[in-house]
Amino acid sequence: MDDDILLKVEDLHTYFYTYEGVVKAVDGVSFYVKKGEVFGVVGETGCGKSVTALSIIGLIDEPGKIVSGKIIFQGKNLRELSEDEMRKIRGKGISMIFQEPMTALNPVYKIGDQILEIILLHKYGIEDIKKAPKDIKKKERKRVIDMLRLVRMPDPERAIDSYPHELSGGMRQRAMIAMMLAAEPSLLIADEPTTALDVTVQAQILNILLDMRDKLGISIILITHDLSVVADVCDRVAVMYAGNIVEMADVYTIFKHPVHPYTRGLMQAIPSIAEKKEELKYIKGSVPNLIYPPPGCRFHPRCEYAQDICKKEKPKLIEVEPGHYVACHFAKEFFEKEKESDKNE
Amino acid sequence: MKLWQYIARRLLLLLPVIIGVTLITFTISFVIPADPARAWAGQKAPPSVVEKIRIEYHLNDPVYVQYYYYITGVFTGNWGYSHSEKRPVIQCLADYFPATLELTIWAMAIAIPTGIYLGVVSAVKRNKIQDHLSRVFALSGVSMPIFWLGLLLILIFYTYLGWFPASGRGIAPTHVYTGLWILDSLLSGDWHALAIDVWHIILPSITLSYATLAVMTRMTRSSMLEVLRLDYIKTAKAKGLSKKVVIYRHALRNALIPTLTVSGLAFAGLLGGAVLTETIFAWPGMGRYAYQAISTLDYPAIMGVTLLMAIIFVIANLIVDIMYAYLDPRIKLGE
Repeated sequence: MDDDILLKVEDLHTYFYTYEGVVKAVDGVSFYVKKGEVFGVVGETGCGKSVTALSIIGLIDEPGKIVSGKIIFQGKNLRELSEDEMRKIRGKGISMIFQEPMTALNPVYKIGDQILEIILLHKYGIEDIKKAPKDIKKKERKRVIDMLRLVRMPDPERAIDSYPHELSGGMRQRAMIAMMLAAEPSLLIADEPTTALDVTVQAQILNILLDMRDKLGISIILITHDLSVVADVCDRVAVMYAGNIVEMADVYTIFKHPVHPYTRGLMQAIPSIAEKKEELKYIKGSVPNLIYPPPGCRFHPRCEYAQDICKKEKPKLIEVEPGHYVACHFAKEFFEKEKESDKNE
Repeated sequence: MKLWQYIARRLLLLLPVIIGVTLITFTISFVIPADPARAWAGQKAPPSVVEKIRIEYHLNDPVYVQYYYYITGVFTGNWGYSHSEKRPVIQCLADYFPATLELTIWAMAIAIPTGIYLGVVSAVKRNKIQDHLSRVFALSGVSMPIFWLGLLLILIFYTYLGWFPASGRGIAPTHVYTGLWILDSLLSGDWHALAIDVWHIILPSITLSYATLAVMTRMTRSSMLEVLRLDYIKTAKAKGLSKKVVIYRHALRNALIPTLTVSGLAFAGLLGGAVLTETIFAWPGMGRYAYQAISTLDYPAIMGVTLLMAIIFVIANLIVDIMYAYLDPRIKLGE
């Protein structure tokens, strides 16, 4: 089974040392991503999704720091690599796309040159486009056009010589995907890739991502706060809350039998056309301050089932059924109840 | 719009600028209660001589007639007669302007690369010792009076150490082509003049560059800090590019745009505003000429210097605008 695992994160802690105190943005996160799967990470803003992603690719800026934990990618612990070795992983092994296609591309360079840059870097070790031999550039230009065609960029021959401001949001996100896949990475981290886009364009971009997975065999970590996106495209999901993973399972299980009270709260907060409800349910309270997180289970101040033990002891992630992990003191009971109600239906 | 069309259109704008500037300088010289004919003829000249000057230079005519003579002169190359130098203004400017241009080029050649480099280092090493040092350096540059720095440099490097000369441009090269002596001595292969002239330009150009250098450092630092926070920098890092490429190729080009504005205006400003530096180092340039013209009420000279300055500012702005469009593809000329 271990052969299938591309990335394994074990007990990751990433803290930010600010003037106000230490922000424990990611505090003991463990998960794995299999080859060729789309792994979703869901949670509210500020729950540590993006910090987890940036930790994996090694781009945590000061005052942030990975304090402990292992990030094992293709058998290597990335935390033990030097910066130079890590640079060879970035773009080639793991690459990443960001939320805002408007600002994620450099405004002063042509799309084609920005894509060419990553190809020249990882294929030929050439950092400066200007110094690249003409024949290589000519050859790789064809590859850039192929990549743009692969992400269904309209009129790729024209797009390659366009500047980012000449393209629409959806086209820029396509260019971004083409760029980040140009050096053939095995893992793509997509940090809210569709949040800034129109709904119709969202669907196109998600389809392109799935298409890339099928055609190139890559794994994708999809970070989002949108459960409908998760339901659409993910194979497995981790739900994060305040720097911890509270529940992790395959997508079918998590929508069918959510166990953690937070996950259940999220599911109930999705508006549904089928059920007529008086008022949309929501989770009371707000995300805690991560400098002084609540003791014990971080969710307990907002949890309607909280008991004394929840205030004292931090629950561990336990496996309630094969592949289904929950971090709650009452995980087993909730799980039994869910199964029970499922039978009654 | 083609580049030459844009340049031609912008240069046409020089006409109203010239008319506007001459109107202002002309009015000022007219309303100041001083008698140019007397100033020119000298304190002891007999009234008949002064009267003769008045008639010869149309000083008794109505003001609009005088202006007409002046403005037609401006467009035909007759910028008046500089009585402090006893020769036409245009000749004086032709002599002094290259000296100022040479000094300014050297000062900018020091200020631009050093300022940008210090600004980048400062931004990249934010709140580290390098940043603090460069900020102190920049702050002292913007707050230190230029004449004080000049005198200090003379005191240390001329009086105490005797390493550099403290006045003049050195010696003229054997052939003068452009009036830029260092360039001319290179062109004419006069190595002796080259060495002496370079020796002479070092202290004044450092003095002149310091304030601009400081402003460039501060501008570059703040715009670099802004750019380094942006998403495309994260993208560049995620591609696996080295820190150097991320900073110099991806961040700096975007951060340079505000710095460019400052450098264009600074260049234009230095060309005409080097009065203090040129006076301290006895540099025979426009600044010193302007100072001399003002103190001797040499109106045609004052007006000539002002007009040349205005033209330089228009051209410097034009060059900055063209460079904007080159640095940032989002900017289209003439829109």
